[in-house]
Amino acid sequence: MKRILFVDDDPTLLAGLQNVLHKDRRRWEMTFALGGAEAIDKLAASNFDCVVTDLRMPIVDGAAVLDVVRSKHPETRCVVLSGSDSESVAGAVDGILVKPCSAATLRMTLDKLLR
Amino acid sequence: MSGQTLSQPKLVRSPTQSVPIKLPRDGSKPQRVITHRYQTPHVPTNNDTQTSVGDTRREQILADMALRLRRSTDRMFLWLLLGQWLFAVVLAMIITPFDYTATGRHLHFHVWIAFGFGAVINVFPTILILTRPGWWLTRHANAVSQMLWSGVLIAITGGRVETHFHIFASLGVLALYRDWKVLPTATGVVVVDHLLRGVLWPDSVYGVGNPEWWVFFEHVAWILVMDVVLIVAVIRGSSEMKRAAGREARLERINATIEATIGQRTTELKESTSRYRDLVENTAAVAFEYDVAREAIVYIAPQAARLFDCGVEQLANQRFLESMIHPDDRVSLFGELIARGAKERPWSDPLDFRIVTLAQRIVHVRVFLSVTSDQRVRAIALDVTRQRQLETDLQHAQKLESVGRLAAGVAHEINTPIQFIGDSVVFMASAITDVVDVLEKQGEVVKRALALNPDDALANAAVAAANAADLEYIVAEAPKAGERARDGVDRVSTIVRSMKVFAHPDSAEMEPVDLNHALTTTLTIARNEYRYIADLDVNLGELPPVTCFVGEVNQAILNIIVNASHAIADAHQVSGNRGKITVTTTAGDDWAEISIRDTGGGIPDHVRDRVFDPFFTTKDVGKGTGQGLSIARSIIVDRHHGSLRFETERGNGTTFFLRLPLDASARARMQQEAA
Repeated sequence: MKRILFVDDDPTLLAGLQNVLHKDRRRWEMTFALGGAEAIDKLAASNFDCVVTDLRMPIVDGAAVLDVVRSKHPETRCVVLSGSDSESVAGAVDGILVKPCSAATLRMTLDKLLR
Repeated sequence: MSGQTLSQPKLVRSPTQSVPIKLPRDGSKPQRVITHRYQTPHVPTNNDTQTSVGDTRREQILADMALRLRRSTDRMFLWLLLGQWLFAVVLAMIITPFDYTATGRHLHFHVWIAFGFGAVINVFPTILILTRPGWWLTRHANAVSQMLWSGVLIAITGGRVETHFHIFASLGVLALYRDWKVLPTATGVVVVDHLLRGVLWPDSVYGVGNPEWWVFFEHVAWILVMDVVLIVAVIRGSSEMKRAAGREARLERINATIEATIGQRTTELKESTSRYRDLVENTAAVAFEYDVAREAIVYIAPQAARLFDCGVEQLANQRFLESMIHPDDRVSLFGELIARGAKERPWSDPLDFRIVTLAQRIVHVRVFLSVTSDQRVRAIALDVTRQRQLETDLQHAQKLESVGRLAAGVAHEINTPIQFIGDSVVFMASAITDVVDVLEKQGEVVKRALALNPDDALANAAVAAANAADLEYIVAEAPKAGERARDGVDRVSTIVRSMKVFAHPDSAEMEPVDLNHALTTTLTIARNEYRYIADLDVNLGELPPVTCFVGEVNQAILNIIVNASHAIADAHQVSGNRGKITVTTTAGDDWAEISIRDTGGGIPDHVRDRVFDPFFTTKDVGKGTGQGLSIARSIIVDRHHGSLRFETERGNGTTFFLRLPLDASARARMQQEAA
């Protein structure tokens, strides 16, 4: 089963994602981290096939999370789910999604990456 | 005395002539150069030669005066000589008319002397006086003749002592020539006459046949005394004449100087007047003067006619000028003038107001005022419409930028909640579908339980609960409600995305954009303007990327859509029918075009030339600023070197064509290079 880590500073958004992707619970093992710091903790504890993260977050932002992924888990795929399409992303990522992003689009993107 | 000048002497009058002239040989003393005692007040030209020029002129005047004097004296002598001739003949005929001899009575020889000799001595001077008046020889001939007349008169009066006074009188008359040289000539004639006749015929001179030997010397002595006195008088008279000539020359020069100065000042004044007139009447600024006491415009520069689009003659009509003031500005302007008249505010603050010209142009005017001590207001009015437009454009651009930032910020903030609303809605919709599926199957179970045992309490309770909740309705409607919620979230998402694209606050550089996409987002934003009055028909053609400031282009499109909506609203107000806005995109070799057609009332003929003018509007006060199409034109034409034109038909509507070059920045560079 593929393991995916979702990172955002908004718990409601994470809950929404959890709801909408509930149908995929049998093929993906999904972990939800509230904020960058928790994400880095979870990344240290275990391995993930894919990380979906917001960019603009307080204290530890998405760029810091991506740095950790690139340095410690080079095999892990990275997807940005950001509130603004004008924000620049430092370094290569595997996909950029702009909020609001439909469940279908998100599922399709993850499908492609984890095939 | 030598006479090398035989030509007729001429009067010289030209005040400016400076070449040496031939003076009549009057025998006066050689001219000394006399330096003027006064300083010339103003010398227009040639300072160094002025004194010698002045002297030359004085000599000319002196020569003229002398010549006139001598000519008039010559003419006097003509009558004197003729008169003396007649007088001598009459006198001879009275005193000694006849001579009685052996042969009888004859005319006395005195009569013959008077008549014959008189004729002889008159002939030569008379000819000279008539042919060459003023010549030196003429007056010497007159002197000789006049003194011979003394001899004749003395002779025919028998040498009477009293007749000798004629000699003194004659010398006095000759002194009128103011030429002392005629006196020696005259004296010489008298002396020779006395000497010869004193020897040959003493009776005819002295009245006795044997005069004393000294009588001749006594006579000569008296004559010499007379000569001395007269010569002194003549020399004095001559120098007086010279001074008079000097005065006249000086006056002439002062006159010339004054005239030259006046001429120069007049020219300067004319130049200065025309320079000021040019300045006041050939600049864009309109100068005028207002008399506060009389409440009348005293002067207004003629170029005001251009400002008011009227004829120059209409500027004299004050009521007409007042009627030009924009109705909305009238009250505040007059209030401001009253406040200044009452010294509540200073006159020096500029006044800003609008005027509506005869051609219905709206012109923004700024007036700078100053008030004089005699309660006249002097003012300069400037047409500041262009500056106002630039200010408005700038304000608008700033507003657009800040609205853009705000919209981008708002969009960003809304994105996250929209994300989880959307996710939750999707989840609930799907969950409802699943739950309905489960409920239907459980309904079958309840039905079977009741079939086996109609009194099954639990099954009966389940049926009652389902009926109470109107489960049938929930099952039918809940999935639809979920769909509607998803649709709503989708629409909000689209609007938020459009807002972000439309506002595009960070467009310092042109960038290639999909114009169809930009158009679609703008139509989304503008939906509220047209949704209740018109249907939208969009025909998007294939377009290559267009390099432009997309935020500004969106603004131009929006302005024209808003304009089209207002046109339709006005035209369809009466009928209540819905109108239609047709938006089409097409592309050419190096351009892309958006056409926006409305089914409004069309643009009236008389305003077609002015629809792109800033501040021009046909809308009611408060509904439009008159900036929309002006800004669209500025964006498309000025910023992107494209074109904005329209086709209109009364009653059928208007189509605007926005044409953009595919690469506006390249077009701008080409135009700069060409310039």
